[in-house]
Amino acid sequence: MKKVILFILIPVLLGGLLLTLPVLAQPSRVPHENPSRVSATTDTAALLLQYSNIFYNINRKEYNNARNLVGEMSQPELPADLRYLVDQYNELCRQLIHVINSLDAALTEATRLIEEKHSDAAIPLLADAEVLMEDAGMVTTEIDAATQQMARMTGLSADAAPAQYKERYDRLMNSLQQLKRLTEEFRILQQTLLQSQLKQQAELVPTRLTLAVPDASFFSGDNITVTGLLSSNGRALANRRIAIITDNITDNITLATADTDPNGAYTTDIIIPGKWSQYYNDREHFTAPLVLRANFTPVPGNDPNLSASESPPVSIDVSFYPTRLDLSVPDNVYPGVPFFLNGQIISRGGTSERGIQILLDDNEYPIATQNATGSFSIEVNTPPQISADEHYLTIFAEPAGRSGGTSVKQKLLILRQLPVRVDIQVAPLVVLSRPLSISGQVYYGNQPMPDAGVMIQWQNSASIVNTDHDGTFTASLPTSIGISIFYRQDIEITVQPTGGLPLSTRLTHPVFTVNPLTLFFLLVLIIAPLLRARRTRRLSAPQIIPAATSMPAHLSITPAEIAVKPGFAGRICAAYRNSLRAIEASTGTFMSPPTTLQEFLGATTAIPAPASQPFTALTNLTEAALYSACELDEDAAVRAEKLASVVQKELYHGTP
Amino acid sequence: MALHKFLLLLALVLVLTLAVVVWFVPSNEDFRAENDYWNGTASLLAESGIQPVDSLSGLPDFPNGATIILIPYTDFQPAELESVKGFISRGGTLVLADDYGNGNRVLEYLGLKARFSRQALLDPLSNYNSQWFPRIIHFTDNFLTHQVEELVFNHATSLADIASDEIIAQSSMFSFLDANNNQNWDEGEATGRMPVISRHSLGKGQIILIADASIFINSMSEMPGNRRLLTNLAGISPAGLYLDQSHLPPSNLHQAKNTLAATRSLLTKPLGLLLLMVLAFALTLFPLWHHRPLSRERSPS
Repeated sequence: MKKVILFILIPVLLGGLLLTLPVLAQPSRVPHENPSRVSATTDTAALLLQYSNIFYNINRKEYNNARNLVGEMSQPELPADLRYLVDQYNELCRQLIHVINSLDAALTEATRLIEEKHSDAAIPLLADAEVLMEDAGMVTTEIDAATQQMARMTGLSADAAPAQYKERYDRLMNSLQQLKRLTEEFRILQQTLLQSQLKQQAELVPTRLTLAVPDASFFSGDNITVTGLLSSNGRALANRRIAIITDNITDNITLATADTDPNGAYTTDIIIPGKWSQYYNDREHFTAPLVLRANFTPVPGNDPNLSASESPPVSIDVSFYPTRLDLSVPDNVYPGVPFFLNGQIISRGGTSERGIQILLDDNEYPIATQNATGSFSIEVNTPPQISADEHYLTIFAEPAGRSGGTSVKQKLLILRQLPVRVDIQVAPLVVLSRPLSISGQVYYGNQPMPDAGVMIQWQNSASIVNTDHDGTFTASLPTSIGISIFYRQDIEITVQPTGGLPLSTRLTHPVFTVNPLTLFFLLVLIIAPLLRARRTRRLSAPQIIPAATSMPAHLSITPAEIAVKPGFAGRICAAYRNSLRAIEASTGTFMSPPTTLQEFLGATTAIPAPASQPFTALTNLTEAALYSACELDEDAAVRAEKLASVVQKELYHGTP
Repeated sequence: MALHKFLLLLALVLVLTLAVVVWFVPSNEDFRAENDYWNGTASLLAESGIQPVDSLSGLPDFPNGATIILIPYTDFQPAELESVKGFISRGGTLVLADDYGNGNRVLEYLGLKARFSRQALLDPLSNYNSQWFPRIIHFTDNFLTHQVEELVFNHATSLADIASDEIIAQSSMFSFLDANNNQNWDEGEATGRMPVISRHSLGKGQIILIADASIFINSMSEMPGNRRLLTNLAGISPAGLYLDQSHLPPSNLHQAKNTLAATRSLLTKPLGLLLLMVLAFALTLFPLWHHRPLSRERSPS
């Protein structure tokens, strides 16, 4: 039988485990790898081939892209020896980009100037271009040599190089050839422009422009009148457009335009532009230089023979009063929650209206703008998704009148969690069959928050309520019955503030739960086996109720002794034992070890008369079998068995 | 013991043994919250306080300040898409992290122009050991990439049809999309900076697209930049950061565990608990019942 069991057991278990294997060892279908298993390899050839992208961008005159690519070539982690080569090669590329870009810019500007008939102004640019072309030729040659050397080192130029590498190597070499062609194109353009410039110089009539200002120093915001003359070979040029420009910032700014009168003279008013500075207590005012120029550009078609001209620069001193900006920013600010930035503009230059701009961190565009005089209060909207961190605001106050412009940086601490507080009242111990009752009060800072949405989640149920005018709320949630008897389960409370505040606040509150059903279940599981064990003990340990009186020791006998007598006496005892079982089962009266047969007979008054008489006779026979010296015969044994049968029949089935 | 009793007992033991094995065997499934191997999200969830959710129907009713990370490897039911849309419209943040899954289906439903290109983004130069692990080094100033110096992606793709002001992060100039899957750049294949993270507004909420779902797995989230990104993500989610587990790649182990969990869940219901109690009662008290035949033997006559 054991072999049969093993024969069945082993294949069944193996089969079961085999069925489980696909479950446990299913291959991943997601396209990703364990990064710790990916070995680092430096593909030098592939690295070199990346430079074709740089040369490609230079050839397309996309210099910023090329610069970015070189910058990114510094990023990869490379072995030290290769790092040196790559750094040197990158430096060569940077030089090449700078030279080609400068050359391109010089020739483009020279082209514009010649087109606008500023041939004189084009001369230095063309000279610069010539020097830059020499540099470009030198750097290109060096890069070409370095590339070929590195290609030999990495095996790229060898015949045995992999096909995909050969293709890309050819592309790299083509890019270098195109670079040389580009340099050659620049050389041709430079020569062409030089010839055009010389031609213009020979063909065009030169013009002369002057600019005069009434004084050498002014205050910013002053309105001044500038004058000048436009002439050509001593002849006044009338009805020509003159522009007054200043180039003291990043680019030329046209401050005013004027047309010349019949005498070639022009007059126009300009406002001295404002200046920017930081505020210093010990400085009453600042002075900064400003360069003014007058510019004449012939209109194509109107003045085919006139050359353009520009006046000699006129430098003036511009004085201005510094501006102090006092600001008050809230200590804590929340994403998406507007706040007011209060401030005051203080300057000896007056309190004329000026523009205020507020920039957040390094952003280019302001998050708030407003015109203000003196004190101001600007509502600032913080971006809803700004990180909870320390940021800074830059506040610009533009120049106005004699007051200079200024800027101030101010720290801004962004917090994610609104100062929402919830006081919760809930029973610490919840009996699961009852619904969970919860109440509380919501505060914003120290003030109750009315009409706030409160969502309470517990187990699998949720309830949404709104707070009353005093911020209080009450809710009741149904409970579900689980397996656990006693456990902790957190209530999740989410508060949605009122007033358009975009942030929710979430908190949890612990609650201990008792499950009476599972507790009862557990008690039953523990008590039932105990009951059963007790029952079994009682069955195997007979006793007389009421307790038996004392008897002589030699007349006492155990039920076990009754069962082990040999011969006819044994048959009589067995008959008695069967009757005894029937009486015990039917009356609940048990025979304990020290009880004599007569005592037990006396205690069995509850059995019916039809069973009592045969049991009395049976008891006497059994006593004789146990204690009498005379031998008992088979008749006595048969009689005892008949008496026992009558007792059993009577007790089990009763009298029909 | 009779043979039929033995076979019955054997079947019971086998079923219980297999159930225990399946229940306790550690998960090795991708992105699973209970998997603490390299491809799981257990350690990430433990550190970032992300809560796994098994259904999109359980998204918070007050989604302001709440974020759900969706890794869409299986298809969506219309009700699920509507649930996601409602979550975003009411002010929630959806982080849709996908490479070759069903992210475009979500974007289409939400009415966004943006798409996942579903082509492999390789970077032969700026990478972490392999071109399949591109380093992302270009960021616009944004709450999500605040103090992030670089990200490392793992078998990523790129985003398409993204407006310039929506871009948050881009791959390096050396990256390219390997359209023909030969792991080399070929003429005609897109090259240069590719958008890989973008932000889009919808209703009161926002959608953040990440062209790689693998940055959330344990082995990738250990990398400093990736970790900072996740910290920032947690920082904008004071009302809860959730990771949807209902659209992860299906697996037999997970299905088996789900079946066991469903059985367990059934038994925790009142009816199931009642049945269990009745069964336990019956098994416990049956021997007592069997050993007391005489108590009812006496006839009343």
